[in-house]
Parts: sequence; C-alpha cells; structure tokens
Amino acid sequence: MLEFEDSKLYQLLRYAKHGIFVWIGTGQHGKTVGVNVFANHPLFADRQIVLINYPPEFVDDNYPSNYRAEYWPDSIDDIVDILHPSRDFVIIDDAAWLVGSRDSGTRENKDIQKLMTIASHHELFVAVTIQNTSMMDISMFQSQDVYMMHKHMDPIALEFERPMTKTRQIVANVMLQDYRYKYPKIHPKAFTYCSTTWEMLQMPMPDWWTSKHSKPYYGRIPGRRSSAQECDA
Amino acid sequence: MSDESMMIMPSAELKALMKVLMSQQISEPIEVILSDDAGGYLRTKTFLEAFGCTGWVRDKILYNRSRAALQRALRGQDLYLRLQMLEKGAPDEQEFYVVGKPKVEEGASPPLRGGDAPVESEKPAENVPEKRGPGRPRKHPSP
Repeated sequence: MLEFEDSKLYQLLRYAKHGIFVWIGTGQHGKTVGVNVFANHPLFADRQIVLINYPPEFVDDNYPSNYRAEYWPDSIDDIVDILHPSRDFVIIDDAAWLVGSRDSGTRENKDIQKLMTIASHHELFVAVTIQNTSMMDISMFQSQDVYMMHKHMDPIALEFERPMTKTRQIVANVMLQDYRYKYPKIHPKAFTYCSTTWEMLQMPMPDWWTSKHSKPYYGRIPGRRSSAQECDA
Repeated sequence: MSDESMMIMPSAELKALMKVLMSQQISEPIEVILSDDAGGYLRTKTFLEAFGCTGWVRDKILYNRSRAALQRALRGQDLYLRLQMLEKGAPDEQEFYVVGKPKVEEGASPPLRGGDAPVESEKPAENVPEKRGPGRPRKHPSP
C-alpha cells in the first residue's frame, strides 16, 4: 500500500492545469464514486466540482459545499457563465447522454467538442464516466491530455470496445481481478486501474457517500429540468 | 507493425494480457513482443518527438532501435511456453496507491454504510404515481 503522492499519475498531474479523465467500466462498478473521490483529492482542492446535468436540488441536499450542479447550456456562448476557468473540476456522469457517439451531430455534442479543444485555455479538468468508449464520440480523446481510468467491464461489452481501448481494458480487467483476490478485505469496487500510467489505485468511499449518490438519475432523465425549474427559467 | 499500433506495458500487465490471450477469451490479432530494452525504445521515441522528427525517418529510426534489442515475437503455442517461463520467475509485487480519503464536511449527509447503519429510505421518483392504474387488460383473463 503506497501513497498516491508517490505514483506516476500524481507526478503527471502535480503541475497540470487541464486534462480529461475517462472512467470506463460496466454500470454499478464504482465509476461515479471513483471520480468523486478523485475530484476531492487535494490536487484539486482549489477547484469547485461541477456536476453537469445533475438535478440541482439533489446536489444541494446531498453533496458537500464544494459541489454545484449546472445544466449544459442551450447556447455555447453561455458556457463561460457556468464554467469558471482555472476554478472548476467538471464531471460529466454517464456521458453517453451528452457526448454519445450516435448523437455526434447534436448541438450539445458539437458544443462540448469545441469546449474540449479549448479546455487547456480555460485550464479545466474534465472527467467523464461512460460504460464503453464506443458509446462516446471520439473527439473527446483527440484534443487534450487523456487519462484512462478503468473499472471492471463485462466481457460481452468488452467485445464491442474501440480497438484503441480494448487491449487496455483487457489488461485492466485481469489486474482488477488479481487485486480483488489478493486483497479480499478491500472493497472490490474501490480499485481503479489507470492504463495511462499502468498503476492500480485504491479509492476509499467518502464518509458522506450513500447508495443514492451512485444513482443520481434515479427516477429522472439527465438534463431534464423539472416543471418548477422551467417556470423559473 | 506501425508505431501507432504498438503499446508498451510493464511486465506484470503483459503477463495479464498473455493469460487472457492464452485462455482464448478474446479473438484479437494481438502480437506480443518481449523486449529487453523497451525503456531505450521509449527514450528514443521521446527524443525524436521533442526535436520534431516525424514521418518515414522517425519510423525507420524507431524500427532499427527496436530491432537492436533482444526481442522475440510470440504467437500461438509459443505464447504458452513463454508464459510458463515467465511464471517461474519471482512473483510481481502487487502494490497500489491509495488516493486520500476526503474529510467529512459539515452539512453533508451522514455515512449510512455498514451493519450498524440505519435503514436508508430511498427518495421516491418524482414522476411515479403513488397508485398504479389497472394496466393493460390480459388477453386471457383467469376465470
């Protein structure tokens, strides 16, 4: 068991001011909790965590004060109003709803592709969680430093992975399985494999985390405002 | 093999990949190359990139660099043999890095995990009616 500060990933991020973290793996294997643990690390202590398209009342009621929810804006001009350069860590949970590969022509997808190209200018960290990179528009990988973070992926889903990710995920699956067997006292979902640096990370759950945090869209559709919010808008 | 399709990984990860290939769980055309100087290859690659050397010249230099190392491509049954040889070595140290546990903030929900935790009540969905309707009539109602 080693300190995260000794890892290659930490050394890469130590002086970085932007980057894209892609968390992939089958549903309910700990992607959402993992990305939240990571975003709360002191590396990003000077940033507020922005949950895109989460229900604002859910975030206000259940998350610490360094969180806020923002809806993806209708116009790209409004992005600068919701994301603060150098001061935000942006999380796009279940990114298939926003940057889905089958929705590559939608306004939201085009806007976020444009944002990715200037994420370094805005000094933003962006983390996306998705079950399979084939579900995500490839432009998310093309413009910035990408850090691949893996959770277990179902073997059937693995067959449909993008070739560039498939070998990494195969290795990640085996490594995650080995660590689960070797460290049975550690919660199996606490392990995350980083294939950018070939390192295993353990991310203990925050004390405030509950099962409802892992299902923020329970009974909801991502990005849909409630009728009361529509009236306010 | 083009440089873009080549992935260099540590020996522990390579063993993991070889196990999957050997068990034939996947049918990917992956070629495993064992090299005793992957570090030298990476240094050359970084050097060329830093000085803007691209294209055919870069590929040729990297190709020659990779051939200079003691290496061997593994296919089929040869993979099984090589894996057996690898497994006889010292076991890998399986260490991991612990990403710090965030502190509890005031105002956040209390922890509800573990056997002593109170039973958590899920927040009901907003769009689910309290009482469900009769539903679609059955084609063959029971007598």
